[in-house]
Amino acid sequence: MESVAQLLTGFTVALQPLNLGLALAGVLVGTVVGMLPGIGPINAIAILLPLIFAGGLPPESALILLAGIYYGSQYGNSISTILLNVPGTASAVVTALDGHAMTRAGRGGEALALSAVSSFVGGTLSILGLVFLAPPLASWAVRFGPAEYFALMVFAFAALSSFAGASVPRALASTGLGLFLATVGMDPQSAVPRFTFGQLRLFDGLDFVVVTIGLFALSEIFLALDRSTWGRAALTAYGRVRLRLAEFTGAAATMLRGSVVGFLVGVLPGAGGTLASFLAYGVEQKVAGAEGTFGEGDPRGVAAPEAANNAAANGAMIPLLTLGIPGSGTTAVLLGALLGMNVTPGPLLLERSPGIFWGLVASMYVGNIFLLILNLPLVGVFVRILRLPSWILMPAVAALSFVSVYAVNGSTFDLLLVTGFGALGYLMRKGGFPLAPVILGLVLGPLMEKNLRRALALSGGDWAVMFSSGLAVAFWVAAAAALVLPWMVEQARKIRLAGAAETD
Amino acid sequence: MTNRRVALAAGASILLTGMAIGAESTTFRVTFPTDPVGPAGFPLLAAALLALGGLTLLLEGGIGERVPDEESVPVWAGGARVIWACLAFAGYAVLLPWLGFVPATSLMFAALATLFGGRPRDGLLAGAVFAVVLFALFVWGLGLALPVWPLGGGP
Repeated sequence: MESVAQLLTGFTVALQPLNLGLALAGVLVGTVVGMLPGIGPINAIAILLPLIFAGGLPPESALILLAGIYYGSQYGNSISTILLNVPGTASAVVTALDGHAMTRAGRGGEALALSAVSSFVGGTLSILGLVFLAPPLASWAVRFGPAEYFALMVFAFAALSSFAGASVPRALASTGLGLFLATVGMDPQSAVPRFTFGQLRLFDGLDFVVVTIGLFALSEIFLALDRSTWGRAALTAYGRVRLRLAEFTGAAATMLRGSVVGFLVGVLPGAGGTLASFLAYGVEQKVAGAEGTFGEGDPRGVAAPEAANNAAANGAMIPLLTLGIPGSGTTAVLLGALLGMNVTPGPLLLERSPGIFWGLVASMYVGNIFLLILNLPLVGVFVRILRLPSWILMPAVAALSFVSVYAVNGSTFDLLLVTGFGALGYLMRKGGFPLAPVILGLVLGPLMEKNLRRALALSGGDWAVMFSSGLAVAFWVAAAAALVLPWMVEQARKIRLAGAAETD
Repeated sequence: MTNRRVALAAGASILLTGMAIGAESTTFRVTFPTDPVGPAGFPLLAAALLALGGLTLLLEGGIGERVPDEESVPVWAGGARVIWACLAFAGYAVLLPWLGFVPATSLMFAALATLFGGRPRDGLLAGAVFAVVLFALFVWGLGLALPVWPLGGGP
């Protein structure tokens, strides 16, 4: 297989001493930042991204650092989820059910080890899937024209809105906000300044790091302030962080099923880790039947969502790297990061820079191995950070966020901007508005506009070009279906419930 | 505030924002024959999405049928603390070039620590330690340019 050979080349990149060290550093730092209460991978990547750029590394090495941070922050998120019951992402909510129940039963260490091993299994299996699925998808996508790309991006938004579970008007408003924010600055095609209010510093547009840190990290601080009580996190004894062979074999089948479910769901745009974790958990409940103790600390309740979540994260790399279309908030931040490193994901990435593509895949794997051999013994050290009271942790997150924002442009105007976006994110979260479409809109907006204008320039202004190919029409239909299906399922359920009530 | 009022207020403000963006977009008038969409087309699309979302929220709130369940009723327990934190952050942005990184960060840290129930003096101390660590890490480690010296004398 050609792609296997190229993956091996990728490993030779990832295994260079400098890159190994960076993967290690990324995993460590990512774990610590991702572990902070309420801070998930999106925040961790956004906060650490300007510091990666500032390091002046070659693109492969920067990517490897980024992948390490991504993996580390996911595991850090699991630590605070299992030990403290404060999930930093929606997908970790599922892990919290049985993970925290195990902690309460004094088996937190086992849950942590299980989470790391399951993530490793999910990561390994899904990378195999990526190796075989990415190249054919990329060679298929090379033929996409601007109209197809535009329709595909519309589909990504529709799927994200639909799977996020937010109300459709709220998701529409969030998407509109993200696309609007993308247009701030000088229009690259006509050189007309848009929504800059005469401010020169807005001419370059809004930096997505500033928006992301504001919307996600600062709003998290505001939300924490809004709660009435905080203090030192209550940590119970969690026992030894290791997995016995019997415990591993007991959960092995669960990990396999979770990985398959996670990977398949992850490849769909918009679905991502949350749906994957919920589905994998549901499958395990069905398989276990009456002998399961789900919700009361069943190890399979940790293994399934953790394997699925990681497999979904790798599966989501397929549309991201081969089509250039992120399907979630986290992959949107990753896309922004890649663009910032002058790596443009898309069908041509594999062809033009296979070293970067396979180097990234290999480094994801290396990061996974580091997590396994390094983080398990170090959990005790990490947990000491969690014991710090919130009056130290939260200001520390704020200070780190401000350093990052300042590092982007070296401007204090950005510090005001990030505060404003923090307040906006806080209000949006209070009102039930999803934040992921804002980031997706901000990152995809310029690409969407470019494709729209290119398609219409080619057709001489005839809008029928948007529906001129079978593929474009298929994407439009899929987008409409993604928006309408949840509503129809809900109506069908209502009718069935009403019918059941009548026959009673 | 009741749930219905939140939906109405959010819907109205989103609708107005969308309309304002749409109105501003129509002023971008540069048309090349090779660019039939022009600079106004895409912002108009974003404005339409916002207006549509806002309008639907308004209608939902007005009819009151599909207003989300009670769990999502916002509780504004610590709203005042949030406003204080915003002011502290804005003050940090203003003071950073004048005070330099370590003093300004310590002050911001102390203010936020106090809002989170810590003692101001402890906050200042912890803030100073953390600021020095960040400074060492980012300025000496990564070569980042932070405003170093007080009164605008930074790099």
